[in-house]
Amino acid sequence: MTATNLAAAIDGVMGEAGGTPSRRAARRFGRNRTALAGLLGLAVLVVICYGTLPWTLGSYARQNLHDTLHTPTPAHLMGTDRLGRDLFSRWSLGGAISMGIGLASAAISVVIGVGVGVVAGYTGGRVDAVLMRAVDVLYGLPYILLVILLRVTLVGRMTGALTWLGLPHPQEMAGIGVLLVGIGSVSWLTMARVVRGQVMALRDRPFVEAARALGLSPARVIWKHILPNVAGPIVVYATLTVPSAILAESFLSFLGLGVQPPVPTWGNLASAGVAAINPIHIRWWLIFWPCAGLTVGLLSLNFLGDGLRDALDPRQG
Amino acid sequence: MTSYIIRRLLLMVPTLLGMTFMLFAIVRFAPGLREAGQANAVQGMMQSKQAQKQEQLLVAERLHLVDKNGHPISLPMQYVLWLKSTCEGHLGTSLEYPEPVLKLIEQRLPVTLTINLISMIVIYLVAVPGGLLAALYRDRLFDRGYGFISLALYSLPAIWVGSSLLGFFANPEFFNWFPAAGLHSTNTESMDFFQYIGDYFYHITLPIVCSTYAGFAFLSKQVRGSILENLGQDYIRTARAKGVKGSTVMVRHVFRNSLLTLITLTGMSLPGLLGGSVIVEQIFSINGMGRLAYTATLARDLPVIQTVALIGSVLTLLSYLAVDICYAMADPRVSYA
Repeated sequence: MTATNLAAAIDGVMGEAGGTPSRRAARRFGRNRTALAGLLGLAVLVVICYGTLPWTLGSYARQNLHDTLHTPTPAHLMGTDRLGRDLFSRWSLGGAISMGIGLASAAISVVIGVGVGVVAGYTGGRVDAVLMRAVDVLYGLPYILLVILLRVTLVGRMTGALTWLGLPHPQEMAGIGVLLVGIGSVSWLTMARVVRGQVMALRDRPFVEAARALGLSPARVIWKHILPNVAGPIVVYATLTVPSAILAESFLSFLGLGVQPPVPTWGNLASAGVAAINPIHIRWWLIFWPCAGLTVGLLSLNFLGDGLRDALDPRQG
Repeated sequence: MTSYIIRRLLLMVPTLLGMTFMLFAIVRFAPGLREAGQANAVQGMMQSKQAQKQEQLLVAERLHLVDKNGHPISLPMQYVLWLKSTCEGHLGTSLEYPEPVLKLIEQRLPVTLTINLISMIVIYLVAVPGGLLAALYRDRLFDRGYGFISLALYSLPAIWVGSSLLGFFANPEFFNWFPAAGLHSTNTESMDFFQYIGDYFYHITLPIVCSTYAGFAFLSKQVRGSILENLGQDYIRTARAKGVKGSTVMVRHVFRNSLLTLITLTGMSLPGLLGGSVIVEQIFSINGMGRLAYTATLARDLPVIQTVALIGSVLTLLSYLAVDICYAMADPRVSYA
């Protein structure tokens, strides 16, 4: 009997329980049809929005004042807006930017949230108390306040810095960058709490104590023995941060605090569409496409995150 | 128990001090806010340079930025003065509206509180039984369908839902069922009590729909998870093995343990009751706490921002205490004696 046969035989006998934990998680995920649908939906959106970037980057702001507010046609798949700009180009680039904002905020929340959570949970005592009270205060502050404060403080300086670096479109980039810092500065709070709880539970487990007894440095204990065990929740919460950041951007755009036009995002396209509703003309395409993009994107990401939670955290059933 | 509560309340003092310090630092070190008082005083005033200067000084003095003679006060001293007047109950006067902050909050709070309380009750009435049934019928049709629908609702952007609700249900062209804005009809004087209440509910129906539909997914997922976790415990098997009735096992052993999760979640959501949703209030033109905080921040209305944030912090601490007390009452294993 060869080794592969043996593995197959073991798989056959063990069934559900066979394989490494990550392989079992992958199998649980593969059986979850809504999660797979979410993955598929996300893949389609990513291909459309990022695949068309070479074209949309050139055409998103091109105006044609002879062809304004046109209903969808083969030439303009999603119609045109009040300045005659092709809505498909704007929608597609907007999707790319919205998803980019979501992804970058998730990255920020992972870096800060995991950092703070690990330090607070592993050190405990006074450090923990101070860090967690700081988290409480930030939770207590209305986050709109933080975002507006950051805008006031940072936009000018960031524009200056980007101009100094010689990057293209410094003003637009600074606007997006500040928005990211604003959303990121709020989204790490939940991550920090979750990671802290997990780390505190792991800290006193025998295998961590053994690692400490062997004389490993705290950094190595954390990196080699604690972080791998917290990876599941981190992945889950990072995935769930992406849709909530996209949603936060759309709220801020609605309040006029998000990414500023002409740079499109699903959020500011949707709020422009809402503003265009009036009793005389219902220009449905202006609100339908951006909102549909938002809904499909958020739905896919939430299903994906939910599926990951079920797969990686068996306790949640 | 009483001594425990007193001890906890005393322990809250240093925490609260730390919170006020952070709040002060965030608000004062942000550029644009320090000069805000002056900017507000100048706005729209046709006065001589002298009078403007006078006005600026007055506002700066009220914010404890300068003393009576117009000399600047150091930052640590500003903090102490702010803390002192806050403790004495002087929360200051809004820079934007000609009214004391306390009065503004008194006007806005009941609105937000009503909407949030009703929304919370609706969410609990749907999400808790929903999560419970989903756990009992795990992986069956109800579980799958309910999970799908609640998560789908959670994914709908509030801007779209809010504006669609307004566009379809408060629009003479489609269904003119609900009013588009505000909280009262114009003829409230001629109504008796029940008509008044009816009118109020008629006005807040759409805002409540808009602030509840997204809330089911999270709560029911947590309830479902905690019930499933409890169902797998050894003591449940023991209870079943010794012949306890199925319903008794559920009520006495499973639900009672899941109550702990519910207490924590409810406690976490208590501070949110006072903070209104800016989006919902903006769409339906409701003057609540969310809009107050939003406009105050845009206008750098220092006293209002500080008070709203302070209320949030105090409430957060109080709800932690409430959670711990409820824990002790629900779980006999926990005692604080």
